[in-house]
Amino acid sequence: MEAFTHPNHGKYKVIGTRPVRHDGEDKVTGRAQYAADVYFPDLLYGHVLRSPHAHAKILSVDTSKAEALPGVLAVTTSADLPRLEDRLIESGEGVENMRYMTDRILAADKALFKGHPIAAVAATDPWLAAEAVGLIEVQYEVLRAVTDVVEAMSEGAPLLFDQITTTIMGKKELKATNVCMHTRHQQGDPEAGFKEADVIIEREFKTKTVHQGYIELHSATALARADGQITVWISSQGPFWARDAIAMLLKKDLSKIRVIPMEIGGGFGGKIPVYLEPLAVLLSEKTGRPVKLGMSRADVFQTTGPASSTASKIKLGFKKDGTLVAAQVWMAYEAGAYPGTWGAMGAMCVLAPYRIPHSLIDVYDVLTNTPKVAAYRAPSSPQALWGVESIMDEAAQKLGIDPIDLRLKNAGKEGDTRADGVVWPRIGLIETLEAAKNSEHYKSPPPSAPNQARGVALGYWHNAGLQSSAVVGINLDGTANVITGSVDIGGTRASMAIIAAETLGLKAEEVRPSVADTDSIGHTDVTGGSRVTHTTGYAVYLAAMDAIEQMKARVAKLWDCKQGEVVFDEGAFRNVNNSHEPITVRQLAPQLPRTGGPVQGQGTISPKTVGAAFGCHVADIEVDTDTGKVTILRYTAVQDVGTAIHPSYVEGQMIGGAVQGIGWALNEEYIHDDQGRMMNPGFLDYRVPTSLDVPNIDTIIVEVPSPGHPYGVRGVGETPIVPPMGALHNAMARALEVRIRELPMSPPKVVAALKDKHAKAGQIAQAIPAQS
Amino acid sequence: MATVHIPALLRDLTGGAEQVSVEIPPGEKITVRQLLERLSDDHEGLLDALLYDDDLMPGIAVLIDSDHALMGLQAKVEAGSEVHFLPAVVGG
Repeated sequence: MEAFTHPNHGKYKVIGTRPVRHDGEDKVTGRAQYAADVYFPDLLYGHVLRSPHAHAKILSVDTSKAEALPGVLAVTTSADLPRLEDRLIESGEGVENMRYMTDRILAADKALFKGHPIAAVAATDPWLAAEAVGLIEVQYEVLRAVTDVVEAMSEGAPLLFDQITTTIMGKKELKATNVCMHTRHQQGDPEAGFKEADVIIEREFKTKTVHQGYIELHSATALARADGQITVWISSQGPFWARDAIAMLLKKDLSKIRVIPMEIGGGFGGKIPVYLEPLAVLLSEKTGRPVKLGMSRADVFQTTGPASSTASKIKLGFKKDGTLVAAQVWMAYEAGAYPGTWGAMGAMCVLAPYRIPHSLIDVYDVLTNTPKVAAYRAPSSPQALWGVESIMDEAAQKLGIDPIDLRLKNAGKEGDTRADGVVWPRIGLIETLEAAKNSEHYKSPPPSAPNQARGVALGYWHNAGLQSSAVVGINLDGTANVITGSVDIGGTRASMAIIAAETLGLKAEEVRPSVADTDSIGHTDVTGGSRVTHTTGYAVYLAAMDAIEQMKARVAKLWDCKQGEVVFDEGAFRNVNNSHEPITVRQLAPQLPRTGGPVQGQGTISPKTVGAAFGCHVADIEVDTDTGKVTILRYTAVQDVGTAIHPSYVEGQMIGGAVQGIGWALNEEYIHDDQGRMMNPGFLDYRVPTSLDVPNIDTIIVEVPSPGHPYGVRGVGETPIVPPMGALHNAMARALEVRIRELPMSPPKVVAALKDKHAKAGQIAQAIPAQS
Repeated sequence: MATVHIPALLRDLTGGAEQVSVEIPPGEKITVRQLLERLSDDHEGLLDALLYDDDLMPGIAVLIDSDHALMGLQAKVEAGSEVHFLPAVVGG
């Protein structure tokens, strides 16, 4: 295990402070430029024809009437897309098959979900483009659609593909099926483990499809010049992945494509895949003019993102003292219309918090007639862990143990083996649970009025590493510029400036952070996986250290000594023999031109280790038993973040994640009709929490430095979406004495569950007199 | 000895064994591919199950002593190494 924590850990001057974000004013005044703001005098507007059916054969596509409409300059269909080979690649969000990527951008033979793109047009104004799309004639043979993950696995379910079989670690089964992948982890002997258990609880859980729900809609503008150079302006979490995908889909050299990431109004994983970008390029190539494409909110709901619906069966075995001895998990994840690997992520998370000697995890990815699932904040972990956390709470009640104490008793720690076989490095799960237990919230009496209660639950996400690049330039006045390729979604410009400032001995305000396009910085993977502050921050640290090494050489020249005699300590260059007065970066900078020219440090990194992060949330709630509405009375989010580089943005991530999790727990769901069409593709009917739905959320930051990162950063953004489902479910179970094991726990389900409970109680009441 | 932790769904190739050991003399380093080739003598099909176009299956990460081995099948192992094959982590 590589382990390195900066010797100044705990003695930082800039890290841990809360400077105003460098991009803040532009964002609050509306000056920030988003993808929809891109404009050219000769701009053309695109529109996409989408399938009205969730599952249909495409018999014919006739674009002649659209092409004949005055003002329409181009129409494109799947015939214009190169047909790519049947080949797996590692994309910005896991593994994809190139052939299916092409098919997802523009359907060829079959529409596999409602909203599947069939054709696109470019016209001189957006209304003409929409009118032209209406003139395209498509003949469909409508097929039976399947949207439920369990139904899709069953015998007789409509198959999305005739040739897809189950892949098991590279081995393919022979029979065509909608089950595209099976992942298994096994430790010890689960059967024997359950025999040791005094208490066994086995339950089934379901979750519905949910969307990332970012505010900014998708938009892309492309300009393909006659000389073959292409520029694309996008709203994306991964401009480098977008460039890779465009190049691959349209068979271009990477060097021909420049992707310019605009400011982004949220993504949460849903803005990693490309949707519009290749179409904009195709239409621009046909017309020689810039072409802009956008989506409506209904388009976003019906054709992008969502997160998997799931079905699961979870069994946990405990000794009387609460010790977990065995676990068995069966889960199925909706993959959407094309194979994905999100179930494999869930399999790694579902038992991660706990030390269990015997465990068996089987997880399946299942094709359905819904959009291909995309990452969503800690992808696959929320659906997996809330069921486990429900059973942990039920066990705590049954065994008479405090729910945090039960988790502490079984909490994994450094040296323990996870259920997927990996040995934990230094993690902060125990510290997180202890911080929750010692919080003022948890120490206060739980709410005790009728239909009120408190719930707790854990969350986990492993966080990603991947690749990042950074450049740090020293200005002549001693300030610095830091350039990265990581799109700033959650305030990471400020975090990059803080890391550069801490390393160089400057103030955060003396560092100007920028996000560069794909021509202007080395490859940088997506803003996702909670990886920017961790990995891009690591690249910034390396770039700043490179600049320091270069400046040491300049100082040695000035002092006429060996470079090895110059050290950089507490923001100043010093001679180990104390032969000269120390000199700061600010003092040295004006002398750079005559000591060798500009200093520009570079840093690139693909870290071997990442910082796994745990969170524990505590929720006090009250349920209106007449309407089923849940009111959150008090909520506290506790999380190990490693090191909080900018505590305000750490807290912002913890609160934002909790709010999204609350929405997932209580209200959000895709509602499909019997033909697989989403019936609620808008924020009026797909209900995300508003400021009226959540109280002020308290945060408690725990800092257990991550080994392998110079400043101990773990990554923050994803873990906090995981605990709310379990915390609210457990609180509701304690308040109502009924467990609702299907998300969302929306008012109709609460009312129905209470009616069912009262009906059963009535049956018992009726039975008692008869027996006596 | 280096220890290879066998993915649960491939344990039919190792007679159910969760892990198998490979003799590596002290001081010698071999690649993960060589390690799997040595295992394939006794456990036919193990290497093939992890390969795609003669490289590591996309989406699978090699972990050596719990660290992500970025070199994949070309990463070096030695006596005492613990080798896992897990899904590569991505995120949102």
